[in-house]
Amino acid sequence: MKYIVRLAVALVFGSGLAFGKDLPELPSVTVQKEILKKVAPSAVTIEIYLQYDGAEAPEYTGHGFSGWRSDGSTLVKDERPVLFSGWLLDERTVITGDIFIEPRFIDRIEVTSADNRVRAELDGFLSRRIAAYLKLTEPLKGATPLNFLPDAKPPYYRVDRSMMNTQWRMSLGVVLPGYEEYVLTDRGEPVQQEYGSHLIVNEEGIPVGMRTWLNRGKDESWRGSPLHWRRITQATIDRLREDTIALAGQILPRVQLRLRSPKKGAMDDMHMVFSDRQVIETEGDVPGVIVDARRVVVLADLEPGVTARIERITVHRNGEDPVEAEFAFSLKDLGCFVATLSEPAETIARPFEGDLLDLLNEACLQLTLKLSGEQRVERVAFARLNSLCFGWKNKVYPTSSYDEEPQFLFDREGRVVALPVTRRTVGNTERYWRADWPVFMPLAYLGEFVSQPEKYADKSNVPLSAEEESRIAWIGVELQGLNPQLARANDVADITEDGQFGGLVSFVYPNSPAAREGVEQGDILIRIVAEGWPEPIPVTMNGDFYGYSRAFPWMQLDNMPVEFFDQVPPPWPLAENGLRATLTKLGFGRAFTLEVFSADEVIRKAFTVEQCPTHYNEAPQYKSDALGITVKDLTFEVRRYFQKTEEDPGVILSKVEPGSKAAIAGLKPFEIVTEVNGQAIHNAEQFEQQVVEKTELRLQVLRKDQSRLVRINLPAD
Amino acid sequence: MKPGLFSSALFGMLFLAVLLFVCHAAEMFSLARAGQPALASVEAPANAFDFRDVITRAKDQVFPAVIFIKCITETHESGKKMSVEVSGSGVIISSDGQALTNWHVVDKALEVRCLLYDGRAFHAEIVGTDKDTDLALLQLGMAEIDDPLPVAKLGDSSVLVEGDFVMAMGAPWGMSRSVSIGIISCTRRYLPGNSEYSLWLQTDAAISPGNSGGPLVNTSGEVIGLNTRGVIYGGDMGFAVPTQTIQRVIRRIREVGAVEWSYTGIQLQALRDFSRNMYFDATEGVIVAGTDPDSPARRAGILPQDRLVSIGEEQVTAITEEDLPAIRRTLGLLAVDKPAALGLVRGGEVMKLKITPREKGEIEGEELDLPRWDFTAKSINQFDNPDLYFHRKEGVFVFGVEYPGNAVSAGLNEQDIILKVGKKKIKTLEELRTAYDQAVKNIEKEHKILIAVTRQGLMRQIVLDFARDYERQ
Repeated sequence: MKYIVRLAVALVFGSGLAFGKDLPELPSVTVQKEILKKVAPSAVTIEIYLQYDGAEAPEYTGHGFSGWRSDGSTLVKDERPVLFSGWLLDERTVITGDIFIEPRFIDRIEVTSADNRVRAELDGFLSRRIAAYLKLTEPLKGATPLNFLPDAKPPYYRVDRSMMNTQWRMSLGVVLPGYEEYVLTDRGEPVQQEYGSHLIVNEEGIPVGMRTWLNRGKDESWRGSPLHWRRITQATIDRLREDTIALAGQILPRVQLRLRSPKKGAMDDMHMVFSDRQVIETEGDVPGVIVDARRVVVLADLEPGVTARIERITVHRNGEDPVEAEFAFSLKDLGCFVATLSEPAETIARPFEGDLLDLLNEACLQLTLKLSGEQRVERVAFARLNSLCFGWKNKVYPTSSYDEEPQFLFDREGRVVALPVTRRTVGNTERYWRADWPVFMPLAYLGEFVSQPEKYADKSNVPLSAEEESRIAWIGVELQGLNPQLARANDVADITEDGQFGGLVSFVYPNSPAAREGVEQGDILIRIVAEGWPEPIPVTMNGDFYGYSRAFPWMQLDNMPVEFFDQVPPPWPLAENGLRATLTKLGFGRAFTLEVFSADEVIRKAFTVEQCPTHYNEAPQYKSDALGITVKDLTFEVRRYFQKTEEDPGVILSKVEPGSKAAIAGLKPFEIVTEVNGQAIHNAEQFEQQVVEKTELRLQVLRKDQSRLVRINLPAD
Repeated sequence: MKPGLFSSALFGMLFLAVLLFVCHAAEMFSLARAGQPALASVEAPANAFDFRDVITRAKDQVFPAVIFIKCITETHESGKKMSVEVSGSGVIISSDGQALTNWHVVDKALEVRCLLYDGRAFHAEIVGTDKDTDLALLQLGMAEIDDPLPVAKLGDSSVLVEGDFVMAMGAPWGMSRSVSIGIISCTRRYLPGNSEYSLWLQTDAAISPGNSGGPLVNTSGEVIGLNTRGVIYGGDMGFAVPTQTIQRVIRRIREVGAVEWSYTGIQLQALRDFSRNMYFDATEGVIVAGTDPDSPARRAGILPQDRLVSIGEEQVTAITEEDLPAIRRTLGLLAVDKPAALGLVRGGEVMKLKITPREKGEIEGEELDLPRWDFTAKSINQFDNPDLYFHRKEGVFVFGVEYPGNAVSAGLNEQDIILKVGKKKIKTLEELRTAYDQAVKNIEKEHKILIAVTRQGLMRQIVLDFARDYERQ
């Protein structure tokens, strides 16, 4: 939030040269010396000693505007303070730049002048102007308060005080015409630009006024003593902090999500690594915002595969009984979803609905909410809204700095100005780094988006039944990810950023959408342009580990201890690959164009996101406790691998329990049972019908093309 | 099969249950037993059975016929053509200079040299080999012989019983011969996946790497088996091919130079299997587990779960899996291209079917070295590479890749089936050789080539850049 000032300083320097002959001049060195001597006794040094809060290291920002938030643990270790420069306004009052240090991290404040020092306390901030006040516990010996004369005669000079090589140095500068540049803004309101925070004096060294950063409005309010300027007292800030915490306990509840257990394989290890979204296994606590009496916006950026498993949503407000909520819809562009409360809420988050420009530099409160399971920790710090920018949908957003994640920003009326919400992206979902960074979303906009579900809801990111859970989209191809060499060899380096993306079609499933559209083996899929999706999505196959795997150990299955069966990955690639994940996120039914490089030209093929046929991980299965096996239907990718047609009978062994009847009889994972007691078996259900309540089973078992007969006797119950 | 039978990259150390080794490469193991002094001699009563006498006599009969064999063998396994020295033992079985050894000792040998106990050395020709039974018949270069050759007598392994004293002999270090003694531990040992057509003699006489191909001798001084396999982590277990099998195989080799097994494609299963707790009701015959796709058996209409009771006139029964090799041998020795009658029981009904076996043919593909590409290729063989054959019936695959090398850098893996090189479709080694020669000849113009492979049943493309000449570096 503070970097803009550095730019501003550079601007001043640059523009100063342009003024040429009109440039005001400094008085003679003798006069300068006289002026500085006069104000020097009013300059004081503020030393803020930091401390830990519990185990939490203190954070601080440097002088006024200009510092990044830094880790103060080194200062604590070195037993030295953060230093600020200030001016004594009266016997007990000092003014300085903004001090963004939370009181809990402040051990003590000392104000010094020459060898004298006294204790001091924070005593409030200016509204709109960038300055803080300190109250001294007793008068500081040797220091003289500034005696302002607002109408003292010009010319005026500014006094700078800064530290260099451990020495405070004071110097005089001209007040450049640029300081009073007149700017007409869109709003028609004249603005007086000011850069820097300075004491303004005249030729006789009489203080005229105080300039603070970026005042708005053309006026003469900088004149006179800041002692009488409108101030937000520290007591007010302390009260506001308490109020904000109390309010947050009501309007920003902890929302507990309970999820159905993930299916084995569905949240495969590889996918965990690559997922940049929140990974919730079975339970998670996330913040929510009560946007109206019946609705809570849950700030959790969930993958469709996670949302699919939501079973229960409970809203916990401080001091109240938990309230159940029901999933309503998730937003396709934002990482949050809306749930309906079973009981109306009394306290509702009020959005700041005015012009954000009016809040610029205004003193606000920033709430940090940390949920560690059921533990809720809130911190409120004094903050200012420093700059604005254009963002999504060309709306105005507060700027968040790169080093800090946006938090909840409240104005002094207890209205929510902005809150952190993730912007979702569809492509590039399998990266090591986090792709979706939260943006500073004004609550007013969020309310607008959630009130138009027909426009913004994502129909493919909803809770599903266990059966529907692992449904994915497909076009019916197996892909090999490109690399620079492959891209060049296939003449697509120019359109795939040298193989950064693109997928080489290694197999096309018969009767699939791709087969219908004439996609062929050897074609290269380049990009997806989806309806209603502004940016084209490159086809990626990151995480294409399958291609690097060694041959499946069919020969070793007989020598392998049964306990290791579960660790043998299937010999075909996972159905949930990069392309299918991207299509799934686009949502079923969405029309898209696929750019395909085929026979030396790029062809555009029209598709609609279709559901992939049942795949191995979600295939209907039957677990026989008596036998100790789980069998699954032969799904499309399994049939491809074993070269089986739709009509060929069989169910595949997906699990063999150690020590079971089946394990003893030598059944191995990924073998296919084609017959039971002379009956051809086409799916898990038929298998079940044939084995339940039987005492004697003859299974015809196939390992690739080696078959054998397995006979198992089961005890009659 | 090669040494290190189960090369299991993926599952590595997980199952070292029983590691069989093929015993050559004498250099690997020191033979502590050789030259060890006899046990402290105890004065035996004059009329007692002098065990040492028996041993010495038997030993003296066979020792001179044991030969040391050294081969220069060509291998493509490590990704390039290499000649390596392989040594083993053998035994002379006829005065005209025929000697027996293991197939794996002389497999792919460019040159075979034999050394007798008395220092005479011969070049030998390979008369014939049989990979399935791991046997080879050599002919020593007779022209160089002046004195008659010592000959060992082949005995009858069928009369052996467990507990019979036997001696394992070999010549692991050249001139010196070694003998170790033990008993027959098992006369009918079945090792799944090792030797389709024969059971094994199991002995506790130490069989060490290097006496592969050496004789297993009874107390009468007759050869009753050929030492073939040892066990690394399994105590005293050695396995020898019994002379019953040897006799049959060398007869065929002498007649036609090979056994020429015939192929029916019937997959068999015994009636009882204690370890799998599986018992079928019948007491005779053998279960047809299944038939290979496209095989004579499938064409003949044999179905899984049929029970095979007779082959020609011969009744067959496999109560346990130990009975399977004999039945497979019977099937394997059926005349090629001549219909044979099979007696089957299907659903309680006895029926006869005619099967016309075909020649089994090669059971291992040819190999090809592609030095500039730093890999070797091999043609897919149904019996040697069933996993690859499943995906492609005719073609070539990456046999070995050299580290470091162009193929490795390009990401080419062993077991990748080569579909295309550039725009050329590849089905045979010859086509691959042509494509390679052209590419290498054209290297100044183009040093990259696109290779399409099938890996685990899925097509992948690989760009092979062979600009670097690893041979020269």
